[in-house]
Amino acid sequence: METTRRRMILVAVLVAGFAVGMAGLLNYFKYRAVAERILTERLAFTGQQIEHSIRASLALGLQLSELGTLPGTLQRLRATDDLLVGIDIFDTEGHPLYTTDQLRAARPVPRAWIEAAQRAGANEEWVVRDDGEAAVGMDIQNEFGLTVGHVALRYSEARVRDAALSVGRQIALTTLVVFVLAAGAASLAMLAVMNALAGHARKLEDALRSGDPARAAAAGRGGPFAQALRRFIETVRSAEEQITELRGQLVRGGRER
Amino acid sequence: MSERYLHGVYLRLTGVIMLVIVLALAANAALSHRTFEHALAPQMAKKVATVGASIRSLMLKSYENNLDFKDMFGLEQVFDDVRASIPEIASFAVTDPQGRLLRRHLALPEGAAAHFASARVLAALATPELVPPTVRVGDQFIVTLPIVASDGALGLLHLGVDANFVDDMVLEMLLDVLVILVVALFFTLELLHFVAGAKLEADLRALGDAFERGAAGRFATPARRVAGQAFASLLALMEGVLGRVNAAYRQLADDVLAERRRPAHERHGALAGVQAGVEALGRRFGFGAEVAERKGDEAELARVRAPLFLFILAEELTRPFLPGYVKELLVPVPGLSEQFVLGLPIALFMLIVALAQPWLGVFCERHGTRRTMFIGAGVAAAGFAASAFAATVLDLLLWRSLCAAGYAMVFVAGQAFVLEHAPPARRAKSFALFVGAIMVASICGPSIGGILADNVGERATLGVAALLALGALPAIRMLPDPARETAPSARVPRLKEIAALLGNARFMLVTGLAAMPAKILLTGVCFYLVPLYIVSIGSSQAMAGRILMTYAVIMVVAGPVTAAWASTRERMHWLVGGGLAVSGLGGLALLAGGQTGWVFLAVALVGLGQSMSISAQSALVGEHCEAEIRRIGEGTVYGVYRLLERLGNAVGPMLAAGLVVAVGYRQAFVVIGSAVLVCGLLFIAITQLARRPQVAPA
Repeated sequence: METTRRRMILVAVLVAGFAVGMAGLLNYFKYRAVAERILTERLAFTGQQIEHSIRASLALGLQLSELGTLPGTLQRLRATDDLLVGIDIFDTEGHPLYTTDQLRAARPVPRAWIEAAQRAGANEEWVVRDDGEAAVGMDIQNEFGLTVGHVALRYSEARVRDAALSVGRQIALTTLVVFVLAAGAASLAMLAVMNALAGHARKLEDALRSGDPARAAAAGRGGPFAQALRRFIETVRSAEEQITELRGQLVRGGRER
Repeated sequence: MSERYLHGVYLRLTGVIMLVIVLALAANAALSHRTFEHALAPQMAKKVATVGASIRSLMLKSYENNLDFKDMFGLEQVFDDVRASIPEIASFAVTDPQGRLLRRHLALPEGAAAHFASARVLAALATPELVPPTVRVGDQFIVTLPIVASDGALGLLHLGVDANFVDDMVLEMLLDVLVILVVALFFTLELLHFVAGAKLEADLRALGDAFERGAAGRFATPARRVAGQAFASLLALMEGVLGRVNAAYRQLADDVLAERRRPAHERHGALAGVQAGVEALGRRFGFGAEVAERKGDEAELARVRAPLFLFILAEELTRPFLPGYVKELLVPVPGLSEQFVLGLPIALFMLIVALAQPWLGVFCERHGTRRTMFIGAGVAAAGFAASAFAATVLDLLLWRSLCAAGYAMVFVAGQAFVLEHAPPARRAKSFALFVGAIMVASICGPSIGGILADNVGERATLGVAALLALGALPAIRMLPDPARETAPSARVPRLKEIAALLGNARFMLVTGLAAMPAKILLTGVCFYLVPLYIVSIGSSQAMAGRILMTYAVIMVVAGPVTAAWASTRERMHWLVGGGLAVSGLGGLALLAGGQTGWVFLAVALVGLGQSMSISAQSALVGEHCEAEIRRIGEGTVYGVYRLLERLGNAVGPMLAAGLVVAVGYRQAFVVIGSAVLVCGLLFIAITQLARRPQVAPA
């Protein structure tokens, strides 16, 4: 029974580990999905403001490359959100037109941005999650619905990831505590069931040692072995009595010889 | 008796552990709610602050254009536009520099007025470039932005965010948590069985046997002693009692024999009576030593369940996301449309499993069940790992072929293992153990696979599948590998035998009109259409996994019930035909609607129908083909039956792909369902017509 008890504890630990572990994993991924959604929507809102402003200028007949007030607008908007690293406006070929970071003005935007922009549908945001070039973007359309360029709002993926990891550590700690408590409680509960089983077996043993059918019936009352135990003891007693009787006859006969 | 007691023990153990798990998951949900609120409320507030900043600049611009700050026209429209893009915003308010309410939009939380007028909030006017920390007021988080123009403070803008967004997050996870609970329940039962069950069962059976022997008066020494663990002392006591009586009888019999050897004049008069009494006692009870009879070793048999469960679980993990994964790896294949290419990996897998099984039976017999299973699990693990790194659908086909070969080896070897170790009288029950492991894996696998695929990605999930397949290896190593003298010889069916059966109407009635359509429906609808369609309507792979889990749960619950009904040939005909009709109706469910709920209903009906037909189908082959079985052997007839049935598995995805190209997803469900419904009705009609006594012409 001792080996079985140890195995039951193993079962309790494994099941608790699986259930609580999966729940913890779900919590982390749910948090991350929601956090990413909040981030994307936050940056996309700023992007939409820029897009609306540009579209209004294009409707007046200006070209995308001729918007003199746009750099100031971009700088102002970048300052309103501490998550923003920079804002870039580029054409459909990936050539930068406006940027809050002058060092980026001379080189094309990352290939990943152009591919993400092409994969995204019209009027849909695109997201690139890359340590160096993380960005949320959307297309810029003129009044005829043609895409004339894209706006990309760069943010620090490392900062976002660090925040997620910090929350992940909290979730992991909570999960660990719950797992330890659950594994302990489940182990105790299973041991209690096994102890009840062992207790039942002990009662049966005592009843068997007594050889008393009435006591056997009391020991097995309500259990699956009650009737079998009573019949066992009765049959054994009957056989032993007959053997004893015959032995007695044999011994008496031997004395009379 | 011992089985009932064992089930009772399992139920109690499972019950207590599940109670603890439910409480643990509830505690986890409560704690995660707190973590989410602490982590996400500030992020949500920053998002709302970004929005608020744009409203503020609009208000400042309007003020600079000489509009009255207290009475700005069109502000409600701005609020509505903002709320359309950020629905979490539950209220808007504008207050003056003293905190008095000037404008409000939507319902403000309780305590808002006091909050707006509090010194902490009004102090924000001194630092207009900063946004004060978010504060929870009633059931909303309030984000406050000071509005300060060049000529002084104008007031404050307050945006309220519904605090229930965290509750909504936790509720969204509820379905997945329920799935985890269901999987944990089946996982518990499997673990109990593997870790302690076989031994506990053997001990209880030994105990029950000892009680029965004593109660029946069979005191003979058993041929085989079971070294019990759980009830060692009780068992030893009972064996001791029985042995004592047996020894006493033997001693008495020996003494009687010794007395009889004395010269007749020395024998005492009572001897004859004693001898008669001893003989009567010997006839009434059983003494001596039992003759050993060949019994299957059921403790060894139960050991195969754990590696089978792990291995099948690995394959079932991939069900909800495999077609979607193939979609990501698509490359143009000349002559084949995209939909056909999507179905190719599933069809190829099923084809390899179908065609390999006859030859693998021979391989297994030659090399042993354990070795075959070991090689199969290793090959499949390699296939899963390579699939995780697949570059295109073309190399994925190669890796999935490895998985198929491994799957077929493990499946065939598992069946052969059961045949080797199952006592002849309990063979059906032993096969239930084999099928049970597969069905439990079918419940756990898709649901967990879908959750993992959604959260960690398909490639990582395939990696988990590879690990599970590798995890089966140590359990396979623990299996015995006895001499194979009792296993029936396996051979590959000959072509002329296959042809003869193909031309046999009674055989093809069951195989062609029932078994194959059922498998076409299963793989076409459940393995191909459901994962692709569910994602196409905007749901997730986790949802596809839950739907596939429903199929397996219904099979597990309803299967034993319907199997018990299949007691006569007539009933079996109705079960097979009726089951096909019910599963066909599942496909037709999508005529009513295309949402996820209708797909759930469709798959549930497929599961119910198949649970009705599956056991009876197999038994009907034996009923319909008695003559053929006598002529060419049961193994050959059933081998061809299984081959054709599994070819149906391979046809299903290709047929479904063609229908998707021709008529679209929903109609593909309907067409396949209708065809299977017609097969079911035809089956019933033909079998009922064949029953009617023919009236002899006058």
